[in-house]
Amino acid sequence: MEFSDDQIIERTLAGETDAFSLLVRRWERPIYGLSLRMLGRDEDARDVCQETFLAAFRNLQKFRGDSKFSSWLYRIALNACHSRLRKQGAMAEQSIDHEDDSGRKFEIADGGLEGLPERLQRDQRAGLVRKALYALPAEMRQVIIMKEYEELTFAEIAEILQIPVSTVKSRLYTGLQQMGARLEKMRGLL
Amino acid sequence: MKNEKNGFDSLNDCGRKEDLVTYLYGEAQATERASFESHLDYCDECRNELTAFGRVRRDLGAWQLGQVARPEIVLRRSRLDLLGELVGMFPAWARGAAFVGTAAAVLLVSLSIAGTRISLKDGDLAVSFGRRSNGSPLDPVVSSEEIGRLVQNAVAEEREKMKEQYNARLASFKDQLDADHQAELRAARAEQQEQLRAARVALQQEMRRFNRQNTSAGIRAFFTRDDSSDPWGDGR
Repeated sequence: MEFSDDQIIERTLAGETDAFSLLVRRWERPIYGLSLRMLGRDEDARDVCQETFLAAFRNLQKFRGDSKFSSWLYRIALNACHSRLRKQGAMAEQSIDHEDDSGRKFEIADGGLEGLPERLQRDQRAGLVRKALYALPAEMRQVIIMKEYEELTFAEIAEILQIPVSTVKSRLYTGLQQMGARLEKMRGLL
Repeated sequence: MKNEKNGFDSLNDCGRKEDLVTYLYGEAQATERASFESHLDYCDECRNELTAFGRVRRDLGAWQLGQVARPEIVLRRSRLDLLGELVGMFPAWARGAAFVGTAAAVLLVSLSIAGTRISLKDGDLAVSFGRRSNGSPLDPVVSSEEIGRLVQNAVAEEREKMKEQYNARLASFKDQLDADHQAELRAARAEQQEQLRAARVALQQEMRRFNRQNTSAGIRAFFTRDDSSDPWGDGR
């Protein structure tokens, strides 16, 4: 029997703190993916993941259940990402290169030599996407990541960011436009 | 109209950009979808943008994370939490004494830094502020031993005070318990006495009824007795 997030929270608050590990197991990958795509470095993403779940664990009593637990968790993770991005400041651009390496490492680890040319081509495209994505302002990047990779609905993204749905759509529209323009430009340089 | 700078269409002027992204991600209701599709029939800008966005989405799909090791999450408590738990293990009076001691130490160190001098001589307390022009503190000077003694005294006094309060609270609690216990005893005794009184009354009534019955039977027997041969009943 699979417990809902709310049931696990109830059990955790009732003193069964080990139950929280079920929530960690359920949400660590989405939170890690979001952080990695926001920050570009595996190490930073893991740190944010750790910070996020720790903060959630410590503040679980403050979670009022007005929104979904996952929305609350995404919000904590995004705040941690923004905090790191602010610290990185101008260094943010450099992190793209780190991610190029780590990203390729993940992709190649997926299989052997079979289909290698296709995978290299895909990795090249992925590298372009990463660069184009990191060149976007963080507020547009996060919306694209949540919509495209986390497959959240507009309403869910609006709840996480605590902004109107229309603003989410508007940011996504502008973000996609800018992504398209940058990708076209990069392809022209290849 | 094509934007020369980025090769993309200029900003969508038809005012349906939100509808466009809703349609693009399949979140439009049936009526919204139909409405936007008929809009696409005559709006070149939206049609071109939809195609361009579709291409961007395909590119975005190229960046998959693949197999990555699970991030290891360790839910460890912060030092602050641990300190809080440790402090919580001590009784209130000890925490109070420690707090007052720390506060007194901080106060004395602050005063010392600010050039304030406190001296205890022959039971008199002397305080001076400020420094000489050469930066040396003004007399009287308080030694580190005196500071230590002051802090110790303050801590001891506070500890005593807290102990007294603690003991007073305990004594008050005990008195309250005793008073409650006495009240309960009185109530139980009163109830017992009431029961005894009721039993006594019932017994007395029963005895009276028995006596009445015996007396009337004796009188009846006296008058119905055949005593013609021995009217006195003594054989005379």
